[in-house]
Amino acid sequence: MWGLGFVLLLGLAFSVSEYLARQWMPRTQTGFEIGAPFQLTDHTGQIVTEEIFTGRASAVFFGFTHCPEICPTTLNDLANARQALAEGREKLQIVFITLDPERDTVEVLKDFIPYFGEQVTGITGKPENVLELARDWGIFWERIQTSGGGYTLDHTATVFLLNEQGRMTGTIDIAEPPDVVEAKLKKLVTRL
Amino acid sequence: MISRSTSVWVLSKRVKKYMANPIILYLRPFLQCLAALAVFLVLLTRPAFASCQTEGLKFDHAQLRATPPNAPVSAGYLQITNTTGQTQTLVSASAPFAKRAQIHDMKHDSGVMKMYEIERGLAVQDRLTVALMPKGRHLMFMDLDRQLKEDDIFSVTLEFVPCGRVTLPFHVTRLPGLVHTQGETHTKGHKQKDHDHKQHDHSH
Ligand SMILES: [Cu+2]
Repeated sequence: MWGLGFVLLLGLAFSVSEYLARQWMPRTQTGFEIGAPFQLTDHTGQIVTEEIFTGRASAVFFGFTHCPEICPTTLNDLANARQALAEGREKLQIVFITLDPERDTVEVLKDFIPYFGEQVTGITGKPENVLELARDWGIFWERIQTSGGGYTLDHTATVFLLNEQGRMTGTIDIAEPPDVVEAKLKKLVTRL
Repeated sequence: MISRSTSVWVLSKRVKKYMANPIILYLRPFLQCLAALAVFLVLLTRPAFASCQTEGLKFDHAQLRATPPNAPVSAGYLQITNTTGQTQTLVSASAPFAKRAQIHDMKHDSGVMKMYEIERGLAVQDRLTVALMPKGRHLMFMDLDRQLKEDDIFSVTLEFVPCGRVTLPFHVTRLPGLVHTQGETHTKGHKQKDHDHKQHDHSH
């Protein structure tokens, strides 16, 4: 009887120590490197660099404000999923990078970005620099002329999930339902 | 339309001959009144014949996407049920807050979202329901002259061929989509059988 109790205790102690060791062991880097260093402007007119992606997790989306559909839908979905997180909400930011820097000036983003809630940053700047950043991220975009003059953009609508080291650990596809988006964001912040 | 106006023209040529007659001259105001009445009657009866709703087009969940301040574009969604006995094609839309409106569809192609105009219009076959929903078909409103704020209501006019124009209220909402009722979600692709109990969705 005592022997059995001793064995159980030993087993318990072992698993607890194993668990603690895993918690405290310096973890190896996860995720993939993505993007490149940059210096651009955020929606409040402040200078923003690649350092925005370190220190907390990010959901990164490329789009444009003349987009009626997928950009507001995605930003709303992300903002709602972030809001639905029971904890760790403050460890997650949403970053929107424009693919239409000519029309999406700081002035335009200043109105657009805060509409989607807290912890959302819009990035714009000199067109050539912004578009270089988009290329560094492997983004596809193409101008489509509309019948009334003007143009719209076809573009990569994938959301990139970055850990607090700014390394990519996953993506959200446009077709994924809100509960999947929420689960992915939850996983992203609980890993931190 | 064209045939009617040419026949009126031929008629007026003949009438001119009679107009020279002094008796007819007396009756002229009376004849003019009669003509005006005839025109009035024609105008009065035409819209009744062309009313899409009475002919069997039904609209549900008509919504507009609320916009951030100064946003240049918005999207409209609704569900169209056709029981008119023939295909009805949605060919255009117009709204008081937008300079231009188009009917758009989206294509999702390996992570890239493509949006394009449905140039020949959106055909709704008889006895079918077609849903315009987020991430898919939508009415695209461009060059907005104001911000669309949650809970505003706007009249949007839709033009169908052959049945004509319909104007109906669209509700502005931040998160457009089909209405959720009693924990039940109406999703894309449902057809006729769903449509009966959906009528009371709309009343609240
Ligand atoms: Cu569109």
